[in-house]
Amino acid sequence: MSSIPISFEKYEGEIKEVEIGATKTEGGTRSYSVTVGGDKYLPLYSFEGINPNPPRIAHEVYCYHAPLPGSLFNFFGDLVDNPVEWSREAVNKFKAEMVNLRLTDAFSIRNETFKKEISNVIEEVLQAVKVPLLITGVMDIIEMDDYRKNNEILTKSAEICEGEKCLIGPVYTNAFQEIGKACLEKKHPVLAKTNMDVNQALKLNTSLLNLGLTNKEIIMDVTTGALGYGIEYTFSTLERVKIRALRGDKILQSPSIIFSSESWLARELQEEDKLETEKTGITFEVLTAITGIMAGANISSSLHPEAAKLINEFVNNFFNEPKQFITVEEWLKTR
Amino acid sequence: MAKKISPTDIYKLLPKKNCGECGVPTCMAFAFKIVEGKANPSQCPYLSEEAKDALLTKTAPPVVKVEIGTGRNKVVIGGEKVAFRHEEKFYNEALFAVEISDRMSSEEIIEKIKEAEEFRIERMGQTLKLNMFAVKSVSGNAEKFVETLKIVKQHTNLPLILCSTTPYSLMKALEFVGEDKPLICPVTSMNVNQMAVLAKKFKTPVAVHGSNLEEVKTLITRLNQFGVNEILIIPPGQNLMDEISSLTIIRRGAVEKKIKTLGYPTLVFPNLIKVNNGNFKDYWEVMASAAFLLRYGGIIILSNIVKWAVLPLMLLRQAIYIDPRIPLQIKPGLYVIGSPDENSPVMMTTNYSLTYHIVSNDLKIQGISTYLLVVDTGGLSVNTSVAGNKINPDSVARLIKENRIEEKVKHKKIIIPGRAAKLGGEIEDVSGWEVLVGPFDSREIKGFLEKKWLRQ
Ligand code: SF4
Repeated sequence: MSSIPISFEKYEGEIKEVEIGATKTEGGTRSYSVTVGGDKYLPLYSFEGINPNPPRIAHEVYCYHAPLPGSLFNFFGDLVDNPVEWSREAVNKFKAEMVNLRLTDAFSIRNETFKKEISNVIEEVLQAVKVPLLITGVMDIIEMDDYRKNNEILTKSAEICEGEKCLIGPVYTNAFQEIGKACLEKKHPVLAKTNMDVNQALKLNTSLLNLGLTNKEIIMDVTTGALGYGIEYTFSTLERVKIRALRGDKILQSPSIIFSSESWLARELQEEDKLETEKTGITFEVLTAITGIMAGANISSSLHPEAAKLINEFVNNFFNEPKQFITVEEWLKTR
Repeated sequence: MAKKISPTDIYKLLPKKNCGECGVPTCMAFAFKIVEGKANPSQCPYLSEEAKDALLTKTAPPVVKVEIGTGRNKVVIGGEKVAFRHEEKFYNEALFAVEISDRMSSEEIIEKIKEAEEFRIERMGQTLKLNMFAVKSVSGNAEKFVETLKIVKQHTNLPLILCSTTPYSLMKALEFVGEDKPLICPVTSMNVNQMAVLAKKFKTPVAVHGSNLEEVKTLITRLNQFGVNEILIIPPGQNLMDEISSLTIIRRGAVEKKIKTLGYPTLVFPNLIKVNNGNFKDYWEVMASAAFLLRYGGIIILSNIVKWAVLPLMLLRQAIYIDPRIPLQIKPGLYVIGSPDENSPVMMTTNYSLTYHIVSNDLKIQGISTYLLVVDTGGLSVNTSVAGNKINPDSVARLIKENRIEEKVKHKKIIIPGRAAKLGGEIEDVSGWEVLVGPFDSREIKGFLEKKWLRQ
């Protein structure tokens, strides 16, 4: 009789570690830095070995015009128009380990006065909170002009945050040069976004590596959609990228990110007055993050603080303090 | 990765008459069909019994297929061939079973069954629902168990899982519902012989429960010796990490290492996770269920069937079991929404099933009549198809021509999704139609039409 296998593959490659946030000794002003990646095994393959860094969570803060459904507007209240205060609240009240400042709205980026103000906001957020920062521009490119807006605002962000090791992006296969160079120069890791295609991810990473960045300075977003809206692509692309990197493809050996926040775009969550909508939304977000993490995502960018907390509990359950299961026999005695 | 069987391996065992009676012209073509899982060896009338057996063992999926229940409500679990969905696909959807205890009052039981059966969601052309009931004997009293089953049976036809540590209770239960082919569990080292006898006698599948995988294998070997082969495995483990590891080893052990005693679907209990905090208890059941869904959980027993928990799980299950080789898509072409006339707008969207369902639903809700052109994007959403250059302006122009839209309306304007704005120019150039860029969100079409269409 064959014995129980304890390993299925010998992996030749490993994911490089990326550090987000620079402390004083590293020339920044963050009070700590966060290291992600370093995977040597597929996620949760504890029988083969333990990966060095558990997945981490960034709390999202929107810099104006947050695309939130009604239930979330109610939840965040006045914070929605005050990114600085929102960041502070995220860290102090919701215990965010990292903050993802989303300069997401194409309208405000287009608008000259807003552009000036966004720069101010970034500076103020750097002052207000000392956790590592992610700074993300328009993720959902609609028209060619969005690339230009991203270039402008993100190269500017790279300057303002010089020395802070912020994760900055997205860059795309057809728009990576300016932001990539700015990040290289100002020493920030780059968020590389492609769509559900391993070859696209290869292409973009190759371009970034050619610019002079290394895998230790790239975080990949290969996701396509949240729960109910293409998460099957997200899951499989994350898995394929991770497996390929572990099998030795050097170009893909960077950590991955999932935006669980995207869950809130679901049709099912747009009813404003339904009491259960918020709870359903939290579950959507948690399941999206779990799907990403189990397929190989190293960071979840999350929106609802309760969801972030639950995702954190889920991760902790694997890496720190596992919750026990009662046995089936015990279950057969309860209630 | 699993090694695939080759068509030539299969071909060697076929009669090589090339008579075509199996439905394809040649034995080789038949061999290809078998490998793809689209034909069954028994479709060839000239196979010897030995060859048939040899073929069946060769082509049997590494994870045994188990059927529970009978007739219309029968469910199927297992029959899986791969460990990663991108290698092929996952075949038989995970099943959700709702927990019922013999300590519940009959009112409680009836209420729970009603709630569970009413929980149905139509989505992307599929009906998402809860599949089974797991009835457990907490009282330890066989009569009480049977009484509970009587109530259950009166109110549902869904397949049952009978859970008791006492083989006597299970026997009494089977004397009552044995013909419905329920799943019985748990088979343990303490009761394996008695359970094997029951399974044999009532022809029911069983689920084994051991403290580690070695014990599970031993139990399965024992059951096999009795001739019992419809088995599910309860993955051993004291916490979620353990169980996920067990599930992974079971699936990959079966698929890649061809370990026969691990080649069975699984039964998982996300509700067994111990959580002190009251509020998070519910969330933990959902989170554990999701983890199981993503890592080879077969039948998933739920205690909590509130919508905020079950809806997301249903969507996750639907996603994971979609065939990655053929995304859910609808036929490209012209779809008539409402009762459009010659002044009605013409709109365009993609053939990703979800996109189409959302858009057509939104149009109906807003009371809009229109000609909706559905473009072939290989089943991708607007967003992804634009990003991946999968909307071909030529095919948009061709769709307009082929469906004779020019004869149906007296204008030459087409509204495209806001997210496809950057294709507007090209579509205008090749089709000769004027392009209006619509809203990003199909819920805003009515407002858009009022501003941009009716005023013209
Ligand atoms: S029926 Fe059998 S013998 Fe005839 S072509 Fe098909 S496989 Fe060959």
